[in-house]
Amino acid sequence: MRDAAEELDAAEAAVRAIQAGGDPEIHFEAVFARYYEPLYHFFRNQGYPENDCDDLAQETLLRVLQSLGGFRFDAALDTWVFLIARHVWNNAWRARTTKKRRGIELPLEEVASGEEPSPGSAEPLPSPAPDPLAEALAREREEVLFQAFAELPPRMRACVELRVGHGLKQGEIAAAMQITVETVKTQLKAARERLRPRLARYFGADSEEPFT
Amino acid sequence: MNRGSGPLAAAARAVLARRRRELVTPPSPEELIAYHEGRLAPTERERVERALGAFPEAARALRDMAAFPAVAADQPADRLSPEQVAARWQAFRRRLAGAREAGEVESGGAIAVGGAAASSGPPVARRRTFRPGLRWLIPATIAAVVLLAAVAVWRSGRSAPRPAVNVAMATLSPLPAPGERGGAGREVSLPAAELRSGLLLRLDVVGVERYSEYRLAVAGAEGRVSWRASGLRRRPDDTLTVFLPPALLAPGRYRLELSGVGARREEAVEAYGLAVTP
Repeated sequence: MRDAAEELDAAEAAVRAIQAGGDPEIHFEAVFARYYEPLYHFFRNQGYPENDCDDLAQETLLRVLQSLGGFRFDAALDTWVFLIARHVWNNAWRARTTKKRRGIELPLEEVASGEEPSPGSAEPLPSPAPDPLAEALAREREEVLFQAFAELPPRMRACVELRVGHGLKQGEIAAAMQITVETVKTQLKAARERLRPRLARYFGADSEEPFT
Repeated sequence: MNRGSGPLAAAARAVLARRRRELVTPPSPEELIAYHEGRLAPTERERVERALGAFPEAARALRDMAAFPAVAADQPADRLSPEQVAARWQAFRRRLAGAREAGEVESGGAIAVGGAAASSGPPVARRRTFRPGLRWLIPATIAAVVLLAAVAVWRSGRSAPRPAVNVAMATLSPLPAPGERGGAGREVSLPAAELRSGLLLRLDVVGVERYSEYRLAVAGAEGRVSWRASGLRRRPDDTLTVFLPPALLAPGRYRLELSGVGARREEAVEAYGLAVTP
């Protein structure tokens, strides 16, 4: 199996071969090998259904091939491919938000976690009758947490929500928000200090660990 | 991405679901790209950051943008095997063949827009423009007419052109089985020689309960599952289509187990039989 640098070399060599008149069916495989999976996962990680992700990744790569004649290696090939992916993503997003779809696929993870389904997605099956006391307690906890989160500054709040609510790692949060891991740690620590008095009463020992 | 399982994490998810309902619309790709590139004013930046918790997919997009092309699957089930990638390359080649037939892709990677190839700078090899003098025009025209006539005669004697998609296709109906899962189909046999480019299967799901998606497991005669496909979607004609890569189609007998994935459960729904003969 090739490492990332060898893959990039092979992809760039393939681009040059195609630009020189080589057959794309022969040479483009190296480009496909480098970018198909990242593109597929890029769309999949955002919740697009599997078949759509395949279509979007292929659409991106077809556009890459169609545009190869204009690529002059002024920019990195990785950057250029992602610029094309952004256009495809934009179009897909517009189509997704403007078109009402019935029976959209819903990631199991989303349903199992109790998250609100995406707009237009299928209705989950009704769950068994809940315990009224437990339900009341859960509602009270949610209200406390809702208020507590709302009072945090935006950046701190985003760090906390992504860490506590969605389980992103500190490095992932840092990458997403373009801040350092140290900043993420600082924000989480400050949030824990602020929220401790309110949350300890409702969540006990559990109120500390999710912030780390 | 790991998920917390304690009461705080559960409450946080419920809170974020509530905020998602209130905010309704996630940040657009344009906003996220501008955020990523640092082009947003502080107030706009704050607005995006406020939305990140409610729309984790936006946070994942930002994270993946920063990492591209080192983007990995968040869910282990989404990882692609080498066989799946190979099958998708074959699918892409077929799509490419279609695009080339439609004149959308030329050798050299030039893009065709509105029927004309757009300009492509160096290092693309350009065709040399040949401007014949007037004295060559008449013989050149005669030669062209003769050539076209010869091609027309030659083509008229040939059989129909090969289809653009040269992949074997088969439709399978559910196997008979005791109890409620009984079907009326039989095992379908296909020679391995016809499956060198893979096999496009249509699975008949008439009468099968509707699920948001379906999964297929392919097992050999010894019962060991050799391949799985997930995220299959039912088509309006009550079929599912799935592409089996050639690597899976060695001679032998295969049992294909279809399951339906609902909101909170996965259930076996039908089984199909396929035999690949030497």
